[in-house]
Amino acid sequence: MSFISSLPLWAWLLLLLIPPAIIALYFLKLKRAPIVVPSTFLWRRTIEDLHVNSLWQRLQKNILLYLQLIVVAFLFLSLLRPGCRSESQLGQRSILLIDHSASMSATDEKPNRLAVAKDKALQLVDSMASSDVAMVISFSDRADIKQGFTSDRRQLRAAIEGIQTTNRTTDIREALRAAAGLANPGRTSEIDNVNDIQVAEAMPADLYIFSDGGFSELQDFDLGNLAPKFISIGKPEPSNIGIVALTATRNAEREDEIEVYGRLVNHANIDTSITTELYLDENLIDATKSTLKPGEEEGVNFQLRDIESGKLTLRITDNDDLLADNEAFTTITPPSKIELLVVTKGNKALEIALETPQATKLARVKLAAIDYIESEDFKKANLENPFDLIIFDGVSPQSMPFSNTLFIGSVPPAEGWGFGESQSPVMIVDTNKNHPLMQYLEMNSVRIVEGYPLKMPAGGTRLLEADIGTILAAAPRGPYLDVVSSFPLVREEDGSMVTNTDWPIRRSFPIFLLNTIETLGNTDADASARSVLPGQAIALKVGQRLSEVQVVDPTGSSTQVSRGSMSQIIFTQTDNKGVHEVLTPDSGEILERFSVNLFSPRESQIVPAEKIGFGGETVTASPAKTPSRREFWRWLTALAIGLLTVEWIIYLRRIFL
Amino acid sequence: MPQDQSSVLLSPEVMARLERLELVTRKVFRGRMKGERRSHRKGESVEFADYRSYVPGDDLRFIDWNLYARLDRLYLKLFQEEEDLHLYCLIDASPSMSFGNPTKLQCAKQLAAALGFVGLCRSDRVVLDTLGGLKSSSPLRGRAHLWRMLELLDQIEPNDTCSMLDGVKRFSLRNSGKGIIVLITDLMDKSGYETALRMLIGRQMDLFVVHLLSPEEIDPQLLGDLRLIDSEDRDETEITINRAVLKKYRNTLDQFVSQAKQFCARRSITYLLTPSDRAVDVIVTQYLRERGLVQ
Repeated sequence: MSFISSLPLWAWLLLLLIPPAIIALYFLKLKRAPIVVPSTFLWRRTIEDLHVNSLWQRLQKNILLYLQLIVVAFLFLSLLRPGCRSESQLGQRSILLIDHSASMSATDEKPNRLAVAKDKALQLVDSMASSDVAMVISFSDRADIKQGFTSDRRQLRAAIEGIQTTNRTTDIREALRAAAGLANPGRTSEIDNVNDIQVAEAMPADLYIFSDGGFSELQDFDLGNLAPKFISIGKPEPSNIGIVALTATRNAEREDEIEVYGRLVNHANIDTSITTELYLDENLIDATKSTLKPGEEEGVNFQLRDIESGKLTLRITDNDDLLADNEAFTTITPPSKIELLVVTKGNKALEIALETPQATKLARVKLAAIDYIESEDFKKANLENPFDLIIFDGVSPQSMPFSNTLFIGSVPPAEGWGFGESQSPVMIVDTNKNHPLMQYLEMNSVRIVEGYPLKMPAGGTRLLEADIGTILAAAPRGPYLDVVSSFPLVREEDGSMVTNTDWPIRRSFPIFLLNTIETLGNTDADASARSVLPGQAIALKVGQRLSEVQVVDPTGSSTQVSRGSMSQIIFTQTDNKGVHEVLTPDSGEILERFSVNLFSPRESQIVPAEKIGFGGETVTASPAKTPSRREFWRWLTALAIGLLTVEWIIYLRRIFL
Repeated sequence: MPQDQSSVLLSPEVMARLERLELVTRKVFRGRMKGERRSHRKGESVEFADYRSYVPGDDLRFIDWNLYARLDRLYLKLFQEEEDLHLYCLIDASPSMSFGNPTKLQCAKQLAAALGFVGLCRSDRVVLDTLGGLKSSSPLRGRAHLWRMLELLDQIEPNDTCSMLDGVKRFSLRNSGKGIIVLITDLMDKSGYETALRMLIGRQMDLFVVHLLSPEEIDPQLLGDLRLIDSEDRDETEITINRAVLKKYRNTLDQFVSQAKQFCARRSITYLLTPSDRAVDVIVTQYLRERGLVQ
């Protein structure tokens, strides 16, 4: 037991005058009610012995004075802040961040890491003082505030016990933002942000992070008033081999042959031999055995023939500490061509470039004049989104179609696009080769006679820079992508068409068109369906034809999803691993398949972190229990208030002992 | 118009009940006048009592000549004497008697009226007096004086403080006769009641003490920090009344009553403690009858 004086000496001296003052006031304050009685004869005889030592008698007989003095004594004691050393107490305000990502389902801790994390969190809650408040946030790739600040341990326990394992990846940022929002109100928590100032009273809190630390360091995060404590969950040497990739690709040479490629990573610190099995629609079709060194990645290849479609499952048969990454799923989709519409006044160079064997393999090309897209037939067809890509060569439609577009030498009728003053000649100075449209292109030798500086909407990407400015750019338009070239291939001069650039005769032109077909037409050589991480949203393209679709998850439960005004649906219920099927609600026709896989090397790497970093600050893993001081002044004050209430009741009811 | 029983000194119903009673004394007193009461003494009346031998000087009228003829000896016939009785109602009219509902004084006046009525009905001489000493009636005799008696009682008011001893002294000086004294008081005299009672006993009178206490004296409903003011001498007593003090007060009262009872018993004084809210006819017909004042 120790004391901390919360007042200076002079204040104590002043306070010490209170007890004598109470005793003095007690005698002075007595206002005796005058009452006329027949005779004081008997009363005098009654109190004769009370008059002996009357001062002491008064003190002895009056409980009210005693109670007042005891109340003052308790208050004095409260001001001395008595307390004792405690080891398992939460701070006054605490935020419990509990990781429930896929890696927390690892079984190196029994029964699993999440259960251990929950146990430790519950122990902390049990050691809370009654005045302490805490909140519970669970996080994986997103944060979920399970319980706001409360001192109710029952609610906190229920919130912690309700946290379940997920297959999701880890991103602590959102959880920290939620916690920081409470501790640093009005702040963005961005480091070096001069506008990031405290606008309301800060509420410092202890931040307990129960995690295996499977997330990257947050360089740009400022914890402000949060005092982080990292409780590392997991054994130091877990064993895990995970599948981090699975693709199925059609052989470019032989279309009936599909190559299935899987990538395995060994996160154990010993050589591990494993058997990997490949299943097609749950039928074992191939298997391979491999030995992986610690930290080594290895690919496994399977070649399949004469398979049009089906669900592929790659499975590691040997059990390790994390089962979530021992299975991967994909589907084989039949080859398909995109529908390409070319609206042109007539451009031989463009037509030739679209007749290359590779282009004809990928796209069905339809040539049309400008009249076609203004016709009622096209407008009606446009609603059903029949074309994956429309190329406007030197012409502009009245309104933008519901598909991806490439404008060559014409301005799209969409907001943000525009041409500047015509300039000649145009010298290309830079090519954005990072963009998939511009891959494998050599544009420096391309000569352009006349062009326009291009204005593009916000969010656009410059693809080709010339001395006059941007001349080729791409910009998203809702679910679609528009690519605009501000220089025409041919131009009109003196009533006849003349060549404006030598690009069509260069090798880069057909490659650019092929890139355009592959990128804007969403076609590739992959025979496999799209794969997303658990919990990650996926855009389902359903066109204008259907207003809703049905998504069947691997467990067989289906979800009806409505389209809204866009031609695509953002589907977020991707928590279950496996192949999901997108069906038409009426006929049950499969529109698309996509798979949900835990392809996350970081989640597969389940070695628990010993420290985590926040904006340059490193927090080392520590035991959940922290030394602290257990204060008793609240109890004493409450006792004093209770006694004061009793004194008041006695005074009112004249309960004299 | 019907009047409140407590404010009427004697109601017709009470008078009807009292009419049949008569005052009784345990002592032999010489009446001043012939009354309706048979005396223990021998005297002149129509009722034969006894014979005795003649001694010279006896009234020859009372010699039984028939007996002399038979026995040749002189005998005198003795007859029961009939005489009147003095009833002194001494009322304590100090300010302390003005407490209670009805007040102790009212109760005392009712009691005096009741006893006086009994006395008047039997042609006894009734004298009313107060310890305060301001009023003292001339002896009243016969029913015709009932209204006079009630009028006198009505005029009695709580007066200035007068100790019991002074009141008794004054009473003794004014009334020299013997008879029954009924002292109606609360005995709340700080100088003590003993000397006063001794003085009354010294006059060889048949003394009855009716000790009246109001309910608020028997069971006071007081609590807290109080300043008690004596109604007689305005003496102030500061007191914090709690349950313990109340208990102690009751003990003191019991002790006080017990001492008074003992004092009276030792000196052949008939003592009756009664609360002031008790009906006066009950006091007379039940309690005083039991104690032999009336029959």
